[in-house]
Amino acid sequence: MSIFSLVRRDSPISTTHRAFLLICPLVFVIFLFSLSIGAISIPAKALVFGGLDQLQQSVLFNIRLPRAILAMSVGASLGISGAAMQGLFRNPLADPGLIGISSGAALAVAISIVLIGPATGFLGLYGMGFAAFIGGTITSLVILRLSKISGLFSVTHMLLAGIAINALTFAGTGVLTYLSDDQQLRAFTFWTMGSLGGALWSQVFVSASITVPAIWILVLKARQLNILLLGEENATYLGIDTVRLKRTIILTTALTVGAAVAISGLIGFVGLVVPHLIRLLFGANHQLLIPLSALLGAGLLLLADTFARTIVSPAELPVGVLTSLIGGPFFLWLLIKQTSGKL
Amino acid sequence: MLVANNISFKVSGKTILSDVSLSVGRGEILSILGPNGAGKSTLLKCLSGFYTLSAGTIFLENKPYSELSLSELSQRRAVLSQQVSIDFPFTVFEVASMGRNLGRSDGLGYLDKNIINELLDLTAMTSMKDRLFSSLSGGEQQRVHLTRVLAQIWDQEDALLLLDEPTSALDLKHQFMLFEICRTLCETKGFSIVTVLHDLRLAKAVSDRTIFLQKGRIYASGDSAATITAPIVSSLYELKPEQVFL
Repeated sequence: MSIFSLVRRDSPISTTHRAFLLICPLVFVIFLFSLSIGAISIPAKALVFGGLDQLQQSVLFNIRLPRAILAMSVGASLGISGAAMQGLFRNPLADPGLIGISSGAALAVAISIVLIGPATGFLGLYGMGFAAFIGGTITSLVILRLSKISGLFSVTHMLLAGIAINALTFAGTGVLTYLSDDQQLRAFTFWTMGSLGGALWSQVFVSASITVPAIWILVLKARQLNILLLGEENATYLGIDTVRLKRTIILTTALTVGAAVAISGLIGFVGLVVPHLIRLLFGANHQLLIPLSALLGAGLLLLADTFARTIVSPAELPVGVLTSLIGGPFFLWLLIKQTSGKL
Repeated sequence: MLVANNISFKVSGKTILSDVSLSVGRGEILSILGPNGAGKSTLLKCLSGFYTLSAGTIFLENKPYSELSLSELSQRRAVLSQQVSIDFPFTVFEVASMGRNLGRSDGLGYLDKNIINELLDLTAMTSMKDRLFSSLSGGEQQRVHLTRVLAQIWDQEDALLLLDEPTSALDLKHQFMLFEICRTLCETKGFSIVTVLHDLRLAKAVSDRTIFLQKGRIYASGDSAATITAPIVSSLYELKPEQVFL
């Protein structure tokens, strides 16, 4: 057995074992790398075997660890929401950012900032999360309705509806920016670019308290999501209440996207790229796709965030800019590949 | 065992089916024939319980559909719909296994896997079991869906099987294979089968009884051999008698 038999599709090892043997160590290595790199270097060896001095410990527990875990939690929630949306829309191009769900959530947060003011503490974070959830749910429902406006589901309608909603929320945020004071303005800029800077343990807690149950719910619905890909009619014949299933998926996704947006702003393309990579390597079965998208989403966003905070150090790049830089071309490639019928 | 009494179906004011009554007994194969737009597929969707009727009632084993839950219904009837494409990389085995054991979220049991393998053998798909579904030809995909649909009701007796143009993508050999399987299921498990077909000669050869639809109404019905005749066909399809070969 070589390391390559973990990647090959016809490998003798079962897909499930292969997948976790490949992804788990990968995420762990990224995690160690992310904790060790920064203005104050913490050797990975010391992280595993102990022997950190006081400064290193303080940096680790107050700065790096909350940020790394927050990146993983947000990354996981972006990964699963992408996977779930693509299953719901039966199309691999559905990404919460692309089709406007994230920006709907962001607009709701922006409105709540102007009306109530920037959030602080647990209650504030959950409040913003709730606002984002409402915004995300409304946009999901609108997109779902618009993409089926001609009777049958159409990818073109889905993407165009996404463009329209993105434009509308952009305009909405623009108006709010014009009306806002200096402090609110800072908050908005942060949202539109997406950043994990200044991570606190309270944010980690809020994010994880939504992401972990959401992963659980989606894993429970994984087989039904597989069957939904046969179309609503066939899923009904197999005994699935498709209306209820779709409602569960939309609410769960809006909740996770909402939590991610409220905490870290708009981080695009993770939800598009991650499930696609998993499908390429391990197939489309949602029983694997959902947990693996969570894991790989966690790993990739953590890696992206690590680069975002180190490559222009001591300054910091918003991580959303970085993911868009990589995700944009990837999306174009996917679009070309799908149009030429190779997907 | 399946009885439909005076069913009608309207969609946005337009009548698609009106006053259709039919029954299918245990072990019987009924074919639904008719010109394009006669309402054949709509009738099948009504019989499957997917469409809500505008009038009339359908009974399965003397129970009206309205009293059966989706999951109860799914254990007693299976539907092979027209071509279903899937944009995601599922293997043949994964698609076939979607028919089994939906109540469980943890996946397939040992028995389920046995049933699926047995059925893949029956539909001659075993050699392609690990291939990607999207890489198959139309006819092969149709056979995978057939496997899935059979898996759904394989361990039931007296189940109802509804087929919507099941032969549209199949070659001659597999058309006969399909109806051999159907006949066996009728004889050994007491299945009732309703199938929409276009090929009149095939319908005459494989079905016990036939219903001809015209503009949403029953035009003629009865014993297949006595119903699929040149006079009926030529007047229904607006053909000259010499154009009809049966």
